Amino acid sequence: MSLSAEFIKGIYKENPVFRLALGLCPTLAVSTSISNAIGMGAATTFVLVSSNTIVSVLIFILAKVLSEEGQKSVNKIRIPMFIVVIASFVTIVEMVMSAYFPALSESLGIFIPLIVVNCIILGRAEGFASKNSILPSIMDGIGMGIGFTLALIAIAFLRELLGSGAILGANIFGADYKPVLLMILPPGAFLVIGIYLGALNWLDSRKKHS
Amino acid sequence: MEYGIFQLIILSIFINNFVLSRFLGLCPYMGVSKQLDSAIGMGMAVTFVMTIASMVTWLLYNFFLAPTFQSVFYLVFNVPVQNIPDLTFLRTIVFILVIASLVQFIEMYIQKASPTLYKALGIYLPLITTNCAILGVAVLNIDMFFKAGLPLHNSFINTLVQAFASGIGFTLVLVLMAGIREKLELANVPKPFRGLPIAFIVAGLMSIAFLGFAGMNVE
Amino acid sequence: MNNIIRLSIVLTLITAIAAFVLAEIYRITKPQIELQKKAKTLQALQIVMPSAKLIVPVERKVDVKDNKGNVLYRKSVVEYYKGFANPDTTGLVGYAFEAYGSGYSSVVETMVGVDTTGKIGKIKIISQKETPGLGARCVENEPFTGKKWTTEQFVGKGISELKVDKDGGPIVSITGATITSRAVTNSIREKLKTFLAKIKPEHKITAEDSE
Repeated sequence: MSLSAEFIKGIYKENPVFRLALGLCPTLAVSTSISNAIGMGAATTFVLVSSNTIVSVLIFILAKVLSEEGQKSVNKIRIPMFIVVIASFVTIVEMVMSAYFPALSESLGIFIPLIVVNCIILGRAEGFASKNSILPSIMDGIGMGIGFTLALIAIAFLRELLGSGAILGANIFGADYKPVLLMILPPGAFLVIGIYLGALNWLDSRKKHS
Repeated sequence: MEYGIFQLIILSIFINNFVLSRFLGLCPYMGVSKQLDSAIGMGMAVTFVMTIASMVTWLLYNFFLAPTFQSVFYLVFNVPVQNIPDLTFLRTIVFILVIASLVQFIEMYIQKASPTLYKALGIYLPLITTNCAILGVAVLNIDMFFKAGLPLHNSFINTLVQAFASGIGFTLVLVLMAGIREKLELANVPKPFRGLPIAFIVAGLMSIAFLGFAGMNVE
Repeated sequence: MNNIIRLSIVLTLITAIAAFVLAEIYRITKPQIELQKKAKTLQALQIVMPSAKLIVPVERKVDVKDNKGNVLYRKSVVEYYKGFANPDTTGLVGYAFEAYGSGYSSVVETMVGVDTTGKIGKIKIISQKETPGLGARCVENEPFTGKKWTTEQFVGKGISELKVDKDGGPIVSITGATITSRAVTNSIREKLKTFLAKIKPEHKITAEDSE
């Protein structure tokens, strides 16, 4: 696949949240406001791209340095290796966020360290970066990361608009708007993503018929 | 905050339910909740890993990572108290490696001890490693119960109780969801919503129901 | 066996490199993280003591003991802050202290300003993780109309008035968030009590005076 194709697929056709059903936990938890969505999306994209790059480089180096037999045995510990790489980048994000973006760090809370178990990252490391060269891996990471961020923003848009009457903190409906509290509480997250998935399925079936 | 044991149990199972309030453990929740038996098996496996992982990570955090009086650097290597290294930034790496190793061992054990269970859980067994509920409860324990100066046994018991009860809460909603989805297969759901979309909407309704617990006064 | 050793070496090497890189980044970001904490406190202090040109912490040395009760060393702990109108520490305008209350789902941390007569000035909620839309509204600071919770309603209150309506006091609580309202109010009252006892010797204000 061409480089731009690697990048584009992560946004719609293989969108990690809406198509592959990956990374659900942070998606629902963090989408209470668009600024949170952007922050989490950016952090996850950074980890995704970094780990895809390092994993691709690592596998490349090990392939050159080790014998056939050595490669087979290293294959057994590849998952723990990937986990160390991913966890390191997540720790970097944790530290940099508390140092330079403390407000975002507090809103995202426990979900920053949980980026390490975001199935998108391990999934792409194992499923793509370990089998492809560096540049495609980077593009794949960026595409998936942006797709993830867009999904977050889509959900956050509805939740923030209806649940707080605001977009990015700016009041849209005026001071008298009685917000639909349910939207920013947990049920709102489940309902919004259920509706989006149903809508996407409906769009797909219409495309097939036309 | 100081919690009684009973309060903590009610809090972890109902009021702060891991799936429906804290959004932890969603991937298996959506993936495994189609049938009752696999739901029960998965729930118990996750509860087991959550409890053991919480204990091990608690031990490592208290005795190795955090600059406390129990740190091995102080007790064994006699480093002066002001100079005990603060290794808490290694928390994420250490915790996830512990969890990955634990799941690996449990996988090997189940494969030998009960091949039928091993087959039934299938690919979902190694996927327990990336279940955010496990890492989530380990980090939550630290955030809630680790206080330098709090009696060790208190924070350990709180950790154990929260881990186990949260696992039970996870199993509970998983089983409820499986029961509902089995019936849903036979219902007349509009075509675009069949499968995952209606499952999320059901989860949303369950979440509203569990919100009712938020009004419970546990004092 | 040889295989396991080789694999362990590879894994340990990768982990060691990771730990080294992380330690370096930790070293670099740590001062900034401390700075952020201080900046947050300073910002809160400036809000609760707007007329103070100089804010000075009043510290006390506490013994740090180990589990057996042996004193290991002493460290400084901030008890409260004094605000002065002039940079040369004349013109005392008031005090400030931090209060902590166990809310519904988090510890609510409040910076409390106190005037020179021992009555509450402005307050600012520094941190909380209460329920959005309910307890989390404790941070709202609109002008007090008498009908709705706002942090502005604490201005001018004395100790005996620091009770929520449900407990017989004048503080209007948040609808649907009694626990959070109580946590904030009661934590301010309790801390005010200990604070007044602390400054009584120098400043001759007592709890009774502030009621």
